[in-house]
Order: sequence, then C-alpha cells, then structure tokens
Amino acid sequence: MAEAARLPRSMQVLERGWVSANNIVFTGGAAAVVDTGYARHAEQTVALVRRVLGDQPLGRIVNTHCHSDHIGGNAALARAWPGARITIPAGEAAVVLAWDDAALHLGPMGQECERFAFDDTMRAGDSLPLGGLDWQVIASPGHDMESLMLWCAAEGILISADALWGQGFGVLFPALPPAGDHALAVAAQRATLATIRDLAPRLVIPGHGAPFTDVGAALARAEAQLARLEANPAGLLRHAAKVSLAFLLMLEGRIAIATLGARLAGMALVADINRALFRLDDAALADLLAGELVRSGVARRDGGWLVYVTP
Amino acid sequence: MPAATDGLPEFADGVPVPSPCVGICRMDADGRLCIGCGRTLDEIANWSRASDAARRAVWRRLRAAAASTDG
Repeated sequence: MAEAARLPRSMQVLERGWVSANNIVFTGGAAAVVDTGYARHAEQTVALVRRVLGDQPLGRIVNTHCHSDHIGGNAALARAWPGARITIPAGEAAVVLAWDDAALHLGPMGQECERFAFDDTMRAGDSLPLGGLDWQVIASPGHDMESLMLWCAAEGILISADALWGQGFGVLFPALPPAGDHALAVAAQRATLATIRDLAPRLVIPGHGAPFTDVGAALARAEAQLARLEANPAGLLRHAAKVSLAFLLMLEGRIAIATLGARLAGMALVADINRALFRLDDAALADLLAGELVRSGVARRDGGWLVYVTP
Repeated sequence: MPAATDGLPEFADGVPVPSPCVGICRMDADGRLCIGCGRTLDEIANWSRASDAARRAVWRRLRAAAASTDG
C-alpha cells in the first residue's frame, strides 16, 4: 500500500455504501467507532464492529453529524455494548434531546432512525483521543451547519464526513426549504473546503466512498461543483430532490411507478422543493424526478417499476 | 501470463476496484454472507485495506457464486 494511504494499526475503515456512511473503528485504549451507518443496516454494523474489536468492548461512539446514515447504528451499538458513551456535535444536542424528526431530516425525507440518548458533546477546538492518537475537532459547516471533522495532525489524516468526498460532497442542506439560505450554505461550504486545503491532509477518510490520497484533485472537483451550485440555486434544489428519491430507491430496490407521486408528496422536503421550484402535480413531479434518475443511470424503468441500477 | 484484470475487464488496471455494496447490507440467516453483495463479514470489514488484486479475487468469487445459482 502506498505510504500516503497508510493507516495506523489502531484504525480500521469500514467502507459501507451510499445508504450507510463509512464507519471508522479505533482499537487500542478505549475502543471507539466514528459514525454508525443507517438504522436498517444496524445489525450488520454491529456484526462488523464486533468482528474488528473481538473481545475488546466498545467504549465510545462518536458522530460527525446527525444525519440518518451516520447515527442509525447508535442505539443498536449501545445495546450491544452498554458501556459505550455516545458523543455528538454540541450544536445537535437540543435536536437529539427532543428527537426533532424534522430537524433530523427523518420524516421529511422518508428516512428513519432509532432514537438514542447521548452522553457527551464535542465542539470545534476540542481534542479527542482515539486509537491512541489526538484528534482535533474542526467545524465543517456546509452540508450541515453543525457538522464536524476530525483531524489527526501527527498522522496527516482527516475524517471529513460529508464535507468532502473523492468525487464531490453532500447536499447543502442549509440551502433547502424551509430554512433555505443559498448564500449562507455556499459560503459555509467554501470556507470548509478552504479549511481542508489549509490542513493539507495526506489521507482523507470520507463519509462515503473509499479513503483517498489525491486530496488536491478531490478539492478541485469539489470547488468546481460548488461554483456550479453557487451559480444555479434552482439546480441545487433540483439535485436535492433527486437525491431524496435516489436514497429511497436504494433502500427499497424498486418502487412501483404508480405509487411514486404519492410517495414523493409524503416527503415534506420534496414537497417544499416542488412548491418552491417545479410547481407540478404529483404525477408530473414523479415523472420528472424518475426521468432524471434514469438519465443519470441511477435507475431504469422496468414495466411499472422504477428500479435501482447498482453500480 | 494472465492479465491482472483476468476475468474482470471492466476493472481497469490502476483504477481502484470499486466496492460490491448494493445498499442492502444484511447478513443471511447463518450470518455468513451479506444477502446484498454476497461478501463475508471479513471481506466487507477488510475491503478498505485490501489490495486491488485481493478485491478482484473477491469479485471473481462473487461472480462465480452468482453464476452457479443462475443455473
């Protein structure tokens, strides 16, 4: 393995997919896991963590941000290891305490998550010991205003969550209705990309996809994507609606086209975007978004079904 | 000498071999194989640090397993 991609022995990355985010497991000292996947995959998440830890108990669960694909395994892991303490971003404390379904983007996006209680919070500037190394907590607003990254200066490794992937970054939620501040979201993501550029990591462990070492290329792609989003607020909303449907499709494998209109109407985020942007009736909206997914190769039509096309 | 991409021409040499994950992520009743991608727990857990050669070996096994159940 190339030197730049080297991981300390106390770290193991569990690369998941696009429904569950990646999990980073730390052994040595108190065992920990950063981010826990989607609720429906929690059983597999627990099995994977158990396989990596062996007899060592899980001591800590850390979440970079509280989206369903990053916190979905928290409750199951806490049941499997009752001594594990859960740490979430301080900015999410109120939302998670109240279990605010809308603020957690659950119901409005047709997603689910098992409720959990947290033990600690972390904020930018804190230092976390994980795997015998010091990790600095760094603010990374953009995808989510409260999202955090973990930076190990001694190793040059950045856990970036959804602020930066090998090919782009996560939807800019602060730009979406009902809060909808396009300028704020873009400025925040721009600042976050600049932060990452200044850190100059040798290895980035993203929330989705493989860890990567060509950080310059990833940043260039991200900056180009951000420039396109900045110039096209409507395009940003359209992309968010597509992603919402794509996630549902990945979860279910296929959706009956006849039911698509009603399904989309039941997702408050998509309904809000439709009101702001398309102003289509249920059937027309379904046709539009399904067509976009088919055009991008994420889905195909098969009889009366919209079917997820696996990569 | 077989090419490194032997049997898997779509995974070009030099490009990281992609994950077989299809988003189902559930182990079978025996807890042995993922019912989505067909990998073992170890294959999933070790994927991130596996070499491209090792990943291609997993893909070949998955393809062979799928072919034998298509019969």
